[in-house]
Amino acid sequence: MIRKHRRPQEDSDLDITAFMNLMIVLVPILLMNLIFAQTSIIELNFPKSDSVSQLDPESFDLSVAIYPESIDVLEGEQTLIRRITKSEKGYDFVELGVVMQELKRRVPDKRDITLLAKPDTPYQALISTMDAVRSYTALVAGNAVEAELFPDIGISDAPLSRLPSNGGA
Amino acid sequence: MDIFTILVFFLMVNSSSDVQVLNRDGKIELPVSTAEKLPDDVLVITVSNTDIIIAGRTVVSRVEFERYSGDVEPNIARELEYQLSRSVQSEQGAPVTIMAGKDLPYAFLKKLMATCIDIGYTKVALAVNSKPKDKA
Repeated sequence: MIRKHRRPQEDSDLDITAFMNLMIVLVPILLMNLIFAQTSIIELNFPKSDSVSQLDPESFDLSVAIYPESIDVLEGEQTLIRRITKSEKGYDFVELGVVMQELKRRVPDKRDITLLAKPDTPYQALISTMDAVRSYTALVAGNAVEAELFPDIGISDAPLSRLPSNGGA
Repeated sequence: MDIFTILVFFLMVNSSSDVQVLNRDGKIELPVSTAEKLPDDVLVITVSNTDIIIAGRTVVSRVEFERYSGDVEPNIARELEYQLSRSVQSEQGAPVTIMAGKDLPYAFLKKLMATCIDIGYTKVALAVNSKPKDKA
């Protein structure tokens, strides 16, 4: 009887002041980490010499040119594979991703791609294009996984004039 | 209670040195990307609205940098050379992170990257705000 009486007495005496202090400090720390974790990076690897490397004419050389009016997927210097026209809502990176997936199916071993940009191309367009050509989200057994496309990205200057659009595939 | 508070502050200091505090004040609007790779603790070049800052030191103003017509800007190059001489030399080229606003034109970025590569910072990383990819 006495024992039964004592138990609730102990419970009500539980001191959580120290724990609450801990929590008060802990919450700002967790919040801080949450904010900083949002910054991430895209890595680019450039060759050590600043000279322009010789292009192998035999190899399949893929590049994506960003123009104010469209995004052109090019093969080599002269062949236009696909032109994705910019709409009012901006560039269609979804379609670019689809084109890239199709190309990856045809050349599964290829990992490198060159982005060609105009001097006034905004940084965001460059980054979004990199996202589209680097990887895509695939569904494998119900889980979304990042599937690799062309992760070795190089950057270069775009040719001044766009290729005529009759070479589209 | 006190020992807990001390412990928490100790952990706080430790963790903030682990996670590199990039873009602390949020003044630079980084481009949005789906990249998930976390930044390493390397040299950071920040392009603010008015200046170019290398490792926390203002090196040259943006106006001056833009006015320079060549590929390798001498002020930036000098600072980078100094930073490279202080760092551990490696065969693969030194890493550097560029933090720049999302509206920066490519010409500006190109000049900055060309300067980095010329000095020997060939592993250029671009800092971005990561956003999960929406359904494609």
